Amino acid sequence: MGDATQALKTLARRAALGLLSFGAGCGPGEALAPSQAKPIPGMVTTAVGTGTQGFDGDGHAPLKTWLNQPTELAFDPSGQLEIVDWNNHRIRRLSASGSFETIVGAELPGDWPLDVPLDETVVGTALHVNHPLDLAFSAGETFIAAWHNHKIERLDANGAVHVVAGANRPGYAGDGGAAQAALLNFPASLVVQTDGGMLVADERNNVVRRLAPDESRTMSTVAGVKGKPAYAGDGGPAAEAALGLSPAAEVDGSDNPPPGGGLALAEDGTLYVADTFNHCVRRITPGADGLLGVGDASEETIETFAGSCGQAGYDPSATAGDALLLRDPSDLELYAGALYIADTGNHVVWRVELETSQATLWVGNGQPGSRPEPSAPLETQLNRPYGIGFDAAGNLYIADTMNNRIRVLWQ
Amino acid sequence: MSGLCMKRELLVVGLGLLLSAAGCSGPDRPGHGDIVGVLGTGEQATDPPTLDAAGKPLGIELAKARLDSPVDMAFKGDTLFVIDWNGHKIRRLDADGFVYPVVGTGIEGDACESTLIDGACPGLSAEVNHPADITFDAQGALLIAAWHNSKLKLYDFASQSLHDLCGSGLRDYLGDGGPCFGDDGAELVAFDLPSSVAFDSAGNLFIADQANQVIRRRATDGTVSTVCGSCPKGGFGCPLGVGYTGDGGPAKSAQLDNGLGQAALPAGKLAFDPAGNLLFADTYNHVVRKLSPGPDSIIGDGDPNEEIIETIVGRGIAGLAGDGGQARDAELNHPTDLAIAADGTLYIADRGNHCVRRVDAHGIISTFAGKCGEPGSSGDGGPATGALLDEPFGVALAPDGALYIADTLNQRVRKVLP
Repeated sequence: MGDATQALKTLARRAALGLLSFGAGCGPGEALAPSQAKPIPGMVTTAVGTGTQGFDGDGHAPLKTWLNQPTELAFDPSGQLEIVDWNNHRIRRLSASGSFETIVGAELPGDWPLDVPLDETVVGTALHVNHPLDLAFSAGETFIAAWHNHKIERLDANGAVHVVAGANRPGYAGDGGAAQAALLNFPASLVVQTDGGMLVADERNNVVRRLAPDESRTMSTVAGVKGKPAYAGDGGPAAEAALGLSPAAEVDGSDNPPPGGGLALAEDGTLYVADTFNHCVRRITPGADGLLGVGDASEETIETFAGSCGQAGYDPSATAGDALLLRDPSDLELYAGALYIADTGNHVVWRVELETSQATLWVGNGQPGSRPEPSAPLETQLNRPYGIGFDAAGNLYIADTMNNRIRVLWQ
Repeated sequence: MSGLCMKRELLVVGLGLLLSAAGCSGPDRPGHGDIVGVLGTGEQATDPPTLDAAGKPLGIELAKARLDSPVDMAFKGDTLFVIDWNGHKIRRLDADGFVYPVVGTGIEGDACESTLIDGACPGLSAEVNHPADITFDAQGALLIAAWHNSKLKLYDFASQSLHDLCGSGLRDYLGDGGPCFGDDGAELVAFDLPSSVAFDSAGNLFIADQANQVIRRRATDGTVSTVCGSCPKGGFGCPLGVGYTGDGGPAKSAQLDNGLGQAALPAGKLAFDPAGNLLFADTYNHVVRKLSPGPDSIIGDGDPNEEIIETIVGRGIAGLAGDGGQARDAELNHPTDLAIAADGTLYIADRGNHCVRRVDAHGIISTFAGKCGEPGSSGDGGPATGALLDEPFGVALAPDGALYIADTLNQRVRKVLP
């Protein structure tokens, strides 16, 4: 279906339902002026979303835009906020004029047609995706972890989407070959390396894979041994370790793990992995080249950075990284010498100093909810925050997933 | 959101006057053949399931209840159950005028957010992923085709709990000839996107195993088999099973097309006619086909060579032609769901045409609701054939004879009055 047809359809439907107002005499219309959150230093407020779980169309100001279980956010190279609107099966972007627009995704979840030629492209808003989960930016393009499609997609500067990796089914295949011939199993998180390579948390394979920056994006596995989730290997090579990016309770190969396995990459090439279902954060130190997946794999070692692997829990008074208890931590972000952890199952965000491992409870009171705003960080209620990110000014944005909002802790 | 538009209200009032002047219906009251809204404000939204202090589900006023891509409904007695597909839950409209959550946390998944009791999960603590169809077993329990879980799940109203009935969750084609579970509790059967469930009069359960391109049966003794379609090898879709062949021959040798891969939408739904034939939407072939039992009258028993498949609606080409003529010569566009009245009248959710088609006892097809080929949202209170629908995925007949329509992209359930 063409873009224009779709837009007309949507317009016609909304008009028919009385959801649009046509100026005077048609009831109280929605203000077209941007409705932006006002920063309140040191406090948490909502930046996007009304709390209503749904899709009220594009073109609304941030505080008038409905979201449906947003799981992640990122600021694109121009500084604009992009949101993974997970259960709306869309990527949304804040436009220069202050309204949210869909850049990838359409009505109803789905995928490319079967057997689409790999050189085929489609306009982002014509592509159906199924529960996308993460975004990354590289060389002017947006990369999307199309999680339940088992694919990585690429949105180019002209708005066309390409398949980067994966096929119409999950699997674990293709290491040593071109990414377009590889199989993934719930790619959950993406980070870009300094050489242009990309690391992918391949959730249900319980590994981290790399797409090399060569023309065919040659695929390799750089951390974890493909298999069932487990915890092993600290102190040794990352490639021989066991990770728990997907939950152990699931039948192997089954279709429905919760999101897991967020990545954060430091400037020196150190990779932090949210080892979600081991309830801890692992740290992988690259070899002398500073590039994980390049050079001698035996020099790339893994250790536990925060949390007690294998033990879920919550202790708000914890002050050391190794005394920290986490529950299904799912996203990580590095900022100003510290690692921030979206501790999803505890409904909080932690900050852990990289040098000292000093841990500080940063946002959330540990109780799921959405108490009134603005709120002090530790009085704030979140509900399963799956994603976090910083803007250029250092404000901490939180994908407050089950509150259907993006919250901000203002600097 | 803005309030109701004054101009629109005037328009509706004006339309009502026009209708009454023309004698199409009573002064204010829609009548036979008119379409009215049942559930959904038209907004695409999910109402989170909420509980009171005692842990009982709280109802939402009917006028305020919102849906996220409803795809089907079913009746238990006079009570309407609705599949809130992208809300990942099942809801119930009670006689008190409130909508109650029944199954699903609203989060896609397959976990239980509280402790299992005897292997069952409290319905409102259970995650499901894009449930596509529901029906009720002889004991009145709610059977769910948990589509993207690739499982059948059963909800018991007395204990208000949900358990896995069949399917390992692997998207595969496994387990024919045996039971769903082994003696050790092992899951022996795999489905690939089960999209529809229906019982025959003897209590055998039939399952549209969508991406495997087959229809399977769980007999009253628990044995699972394939009764229609042929899939040489499953495992995340069965491309070798896709086709449009076999009419006039044994159903087990035929090929169906229900779509493949991640791109498929719920398709291939089942319904029994009064004579015991199994009808199904062969969605991506754009036809409705019929599977007739052999002399034993039970599909799946006896000699499979005597169970014959044929096409009864559609000529196998996507299109919207044919109203007023023989159904077999007509065109459908991604027919998805069927409802069959006691007199054999067949209603087809002709999703891609944005309408509901009707085939009468003489095999003549007509448009019953919506304008085929024209998506939109309008017409409440007037004749159903003057209304516009938008990708209706589901139809169901109420005990009073009203035809309920899941008007999916309009985010509403509507009905055509008997």
